[in-house]
Amino acid sequence: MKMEVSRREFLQGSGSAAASLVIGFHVPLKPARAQFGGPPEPFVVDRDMVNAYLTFNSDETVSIVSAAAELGQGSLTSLPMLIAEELELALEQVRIEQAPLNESAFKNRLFGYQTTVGTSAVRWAFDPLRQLGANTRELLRNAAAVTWDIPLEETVADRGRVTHPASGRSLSYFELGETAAGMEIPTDVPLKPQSEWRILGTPFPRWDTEAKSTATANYGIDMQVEGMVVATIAATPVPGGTLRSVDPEPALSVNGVEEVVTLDDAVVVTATNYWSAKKGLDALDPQWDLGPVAARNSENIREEMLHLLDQPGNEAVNEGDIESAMQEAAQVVTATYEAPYWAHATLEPLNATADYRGDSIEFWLGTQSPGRIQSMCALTFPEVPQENIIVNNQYLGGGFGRRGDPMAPEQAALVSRQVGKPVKLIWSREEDMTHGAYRPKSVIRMEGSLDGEGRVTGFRGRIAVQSTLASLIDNPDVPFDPFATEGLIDDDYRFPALNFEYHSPRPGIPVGFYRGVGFIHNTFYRESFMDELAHAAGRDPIEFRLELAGHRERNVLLLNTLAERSNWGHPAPGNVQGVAFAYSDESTVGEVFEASVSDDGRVRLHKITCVCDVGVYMNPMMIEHQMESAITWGLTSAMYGEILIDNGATRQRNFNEYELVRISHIPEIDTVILPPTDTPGSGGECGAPPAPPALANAICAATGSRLRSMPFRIHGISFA
Amino acid sequence: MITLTVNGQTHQIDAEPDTPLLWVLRDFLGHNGAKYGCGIAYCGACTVHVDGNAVRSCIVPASAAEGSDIRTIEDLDNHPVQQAWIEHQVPQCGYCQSGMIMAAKGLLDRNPEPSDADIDAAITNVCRCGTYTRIRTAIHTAAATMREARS
Repeated sequence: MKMEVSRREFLQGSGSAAASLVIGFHVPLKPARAQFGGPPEPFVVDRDMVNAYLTFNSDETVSIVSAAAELGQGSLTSLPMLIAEELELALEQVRIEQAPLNESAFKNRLFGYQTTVGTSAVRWAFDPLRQLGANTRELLRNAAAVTWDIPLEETVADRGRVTHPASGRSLSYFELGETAAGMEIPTDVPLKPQSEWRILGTPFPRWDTEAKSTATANYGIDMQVEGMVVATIAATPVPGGTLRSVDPEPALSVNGVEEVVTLDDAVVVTATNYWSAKKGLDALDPQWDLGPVAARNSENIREEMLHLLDQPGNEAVNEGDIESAMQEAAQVVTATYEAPYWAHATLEPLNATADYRGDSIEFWLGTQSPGRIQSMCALTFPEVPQENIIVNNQYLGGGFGRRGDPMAPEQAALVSRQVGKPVKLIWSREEDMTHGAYRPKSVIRMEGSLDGEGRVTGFRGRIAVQSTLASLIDNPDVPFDPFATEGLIDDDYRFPALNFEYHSPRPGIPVGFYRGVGFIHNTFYRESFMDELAHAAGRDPIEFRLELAGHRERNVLLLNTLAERSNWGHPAPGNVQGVAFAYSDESTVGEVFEASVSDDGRVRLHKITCVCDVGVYMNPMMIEHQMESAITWGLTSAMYGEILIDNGATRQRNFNEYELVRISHIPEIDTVILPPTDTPGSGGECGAPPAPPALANAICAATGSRLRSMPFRIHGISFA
Repeated sequence: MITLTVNGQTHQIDAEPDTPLLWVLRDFLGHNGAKYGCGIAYCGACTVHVDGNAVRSCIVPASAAEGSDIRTIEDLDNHPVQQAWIEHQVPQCGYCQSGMIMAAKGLLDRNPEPSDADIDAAITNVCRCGTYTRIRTAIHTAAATMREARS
């Protein structure tokens, strides 16, 4: 009897205890991140795990659950392909489903909960999901061998079927399900070598492309739930403030408005539609108790940080004899750099739909971290058992580190509890921009020592930057913050002496993880400063970097490929070139920007060459897309991005005050991916950090003017 | 009551006359293709066609669109622009892409063979994911497909 086998039923029903397999897998973590994330958690391929991931359908397709949220980076597609490769499926047999909240099956083994952050999706899943596919394939081969009473070696798994070539017999995986359900899952299955891969390493299409090209993809903001109201919110304009009072009447007289709901730190208007809710909210005049952060502004935050640069800080690294290096130097170069707060500005503003039902809460939204929403809401709503908090993930209209935040879903659930209906809460663009978890502002002073031959003998610095880590773990006293100095002290460059310290000021402005995290500003600092050192030494910037990075053959290959591919040193007449190189999250990227700059500071980019070493990659097309994406991200950050604080509140309210790079600014981007290694790096963020310094170095080559702070706009630089 | 003709169908809608077309489409008619991004006509995620012109529906009062022919992305059926978007795997997060596709169609409807400079001038929508180089390529592909279909 053939029937659609549900995920619950497949591989269940065996009386014997299922043999389980603990798969130890190795993801290289540098010590700093390992200290933060801890060692990877185990992934056990047992029946529950196989059932959670796989449904074998009668039409010979296989539905594979993707543990990754889809925020544009393509992991929704890539993770199931790890399974499909070992399961011997053809691309067209794969159906992909978004994971429900199920920590035991789908949690990110690097972070310990269900989350898609830190360009870690493929890094955590690379071995575990291939192993799940391989073990399941061998189970199905065993089932066929038993069915036909032949040796296992005579069976072949291919395109969703097991065949016996000698007799021509063949059964689909679906047909083998019942037999397989009574058998043990093999535990010692070797993984296919890369040379035998048929899907992985090829430019397979994304699962979500068609839906996103035909407007059938559902984002959080598109949710429609029976009986729901639409709401919009004004939270305290100053972080830490509270709502003192509000007269609801002006909103209640707006057609379509249903209720005015007050929270401790916000006022919310519910209505039959968004426009009515917004008109109602705009009619209100809430009074706030603003709290101490109202005393902070961009100027006094900056002054505090500059003052800290004169004080000893927390030591991040101290290798070699830095004092001697500086004292014995032929030349010492010193410079102070800075970067502002940046907003994620996801194009879909934050939103969440919640249905609070007393003993359960159901959420619908696009989130990077369903696990964090569940655990945080369990604290906010102690009357609801944690397992009754359900998160239905949707497509994310941009994530970039912003969409792991539980604030919007918590607010939606608080409102739903008060009004007794499902609530779709949409933050206006203005609410979204003024209530960000910004990439923190930082200032840094660096010193570099050169010997008489123009070689670097020492590199040291001190940075003041709010702790991104403290924002995540809600503990301002973290012992060590790896994000403060990542990008400054990594092993991609080696210096005879290296010393860095950091300060973690607490001005009270909310900060969070922003694509590129610490790397994106620290690489701007380091790679601009390396350019200054190369100039001081009278050396070619790529040759100079080859000396610093030459301890790794892959770095040499990368930089030589970059020089050749970009025609380094030979820009077109009237053009200039700038280079930057950086490690981040187990990947290394070098970029050359070729540009022309007019006398009045107008920059035209002519070509961007990007060479990346991402280790082993799943899909070269997605790597190219992510490099293009991350470079654009870096360019918006470098040219335009700046959140300013006035009396504790964010000044910028919409895109007219927080500009984004447009198509006319972006030239041809030529991406080269180095041949794969054996271990996965990262793809989603590593292209961003080199972009700001590559652009700054090109501008300096044209104008002689060194840009030591972002955004470049404030220095009179604009796009032509 | 507002009367709107969307994708060839006429609707009587009980919305305030100043409600932007975007929110009438989304909250009253269930056409979710046009997206809310900024509400100030900056980003273009809300782009639809009104009488053949690509417009930013977040700032068009619905009452101003009465009597007009309103077309949303839901009206497209395997349009060459959509085919090209799929062929070149343009979308990443995808949130801006409905607006991008409608802006691209608007360009190609009046300029069947746009240059890169034409595209740069006409496509002012923003994509936070940075899919711009793919968009440029896909528009050229769609233009070629549409020219072939005409000839």
